[in-house]
Amino acid sequence: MTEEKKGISRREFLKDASLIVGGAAVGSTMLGTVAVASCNNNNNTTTSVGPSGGGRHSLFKVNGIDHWVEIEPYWSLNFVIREKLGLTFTKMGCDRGECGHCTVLVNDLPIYSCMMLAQDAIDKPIETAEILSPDLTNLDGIAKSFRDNAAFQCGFCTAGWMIATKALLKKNPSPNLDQVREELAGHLCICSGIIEICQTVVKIGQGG
Amino acid sequence: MYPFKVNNPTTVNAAAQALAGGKAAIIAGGTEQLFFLKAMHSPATPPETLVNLKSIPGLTDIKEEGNTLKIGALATLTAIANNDIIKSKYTALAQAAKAVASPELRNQGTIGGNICQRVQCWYYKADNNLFPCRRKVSNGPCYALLGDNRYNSIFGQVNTCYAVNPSDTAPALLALGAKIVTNKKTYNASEFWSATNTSDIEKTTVLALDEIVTEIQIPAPAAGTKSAFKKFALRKSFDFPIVNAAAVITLSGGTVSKASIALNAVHNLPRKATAAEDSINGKAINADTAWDAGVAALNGANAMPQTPANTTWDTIGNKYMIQIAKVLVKRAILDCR
Repeated sequence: MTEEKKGISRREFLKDASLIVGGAAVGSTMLGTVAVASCNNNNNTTTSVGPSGGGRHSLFKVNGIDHWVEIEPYWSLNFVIREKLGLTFTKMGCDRGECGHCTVLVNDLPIYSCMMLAQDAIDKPIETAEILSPDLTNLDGIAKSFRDNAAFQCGFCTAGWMIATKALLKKNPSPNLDQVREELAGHLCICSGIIEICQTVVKIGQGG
Repeated sequence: MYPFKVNNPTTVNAAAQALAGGKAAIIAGGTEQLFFLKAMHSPATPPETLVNLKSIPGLTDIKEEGNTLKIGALATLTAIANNDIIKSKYTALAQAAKAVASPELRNQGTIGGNICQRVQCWYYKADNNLFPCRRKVSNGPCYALLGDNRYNSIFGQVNTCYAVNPSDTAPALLALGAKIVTNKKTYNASEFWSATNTSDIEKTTVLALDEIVTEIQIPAPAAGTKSAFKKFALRKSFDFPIVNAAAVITLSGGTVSKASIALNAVHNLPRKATAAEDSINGKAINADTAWDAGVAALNGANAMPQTPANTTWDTIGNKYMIQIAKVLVKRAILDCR
């Protein structure tokens, strides 16, 4: 071993540092602390992606906040939410309408955002999982229960389950396990935590 | 996805005009069309334009007019499954709509799209035209015939294709004697699905290129009529059917005076089981008569051949589908008591 190998090389330092940064980002996503500017903005002000509102820009009302985005017709709603608005709680899983990771609420109904063209969601109220956890001190009951009951393993599918749970509980405030399994059938947890998740949703309905 | 344009017409005629060129395709709910555009399963040039039917007003209504139930082609499957009139009088259709895919897909998917969906065969559907089969290229092989055919047709081929029609609502509409209204013509459900036209691999219906389903009409069932839909899938909650079946039965004085039974996912086209109808007609419904009808429904069904080429695949074949189909017909009939 040569002398210089004894110290930490620049390459190794960078590698380690990026791992720490990556780890921190994942950890805080699970706890809902990723500060999304638009999410913390409760004044319903108009934010714009691109030059300015109007003209070729379309209105996306996400979590009660107006966003003006210049879209292409072939963009999916998932692409706009994640890549243009930076709301990355909503994930992209299979991109084929099979896994449920990309679920958002449009007009209060859960839909797969990978299977909806962005142009079809213009001017409609959209809710994403960010609405459940604006910051760590202010978790929604659903997000808090998912955290307290460890209703996740890797956490990749969790945002989809949580936002669909919100729609389910609005329709049926205290569902039993069978109803939960039926209504959340469109979600996959590849870590196989499905039963814990469904039991947690039942528990939320029962007030805990 | 590749860069396509979207046309948002406000009338059916404008939509038909946009489709006429042949370089456009329909998008309604989007769950089927976007799946295939993303998968790029076809060697054909993908459409330049998608014609969005959702921008046309008035296609989502569900209403009863006189003795006919009229369902707009863009009514979502959720709306149909939750509609009180359909649940009470056209039970099989409500059950079928509820059995389609997952709640999220039912919130987006439309009944028009469900009855026009493409055939189901994992070789045909594979991404990036991985299996250029007979449906896609002339003289291509049928991979299902050579390979794993556990979900393919048990009633033989149509135009050398062993794929199945996976629609859940199709057998319910077929059994209920629905009419399908397009911008050009009104079809009986029994003549709506057609064998593959080799010039258009996507086609499962008789519709012309610029023909759009606008409405589905179902005649009110006679007094004493009950209907039921049964589906078998690997995942109960969210899957394409292995087999599904619908029965519409009118009882008078304890015996069957009229029976209408249909099966799907067993053949290239939804299948009316006339032999089963004849079998149950005039009899009281019990486990024995219902089973006899199930057996009759599967008259002429054959498992796909297991060739030397596919025995090395440890394939299970599709013989089990025959047994499942018999039982589903039996259960659908028993539910009509």
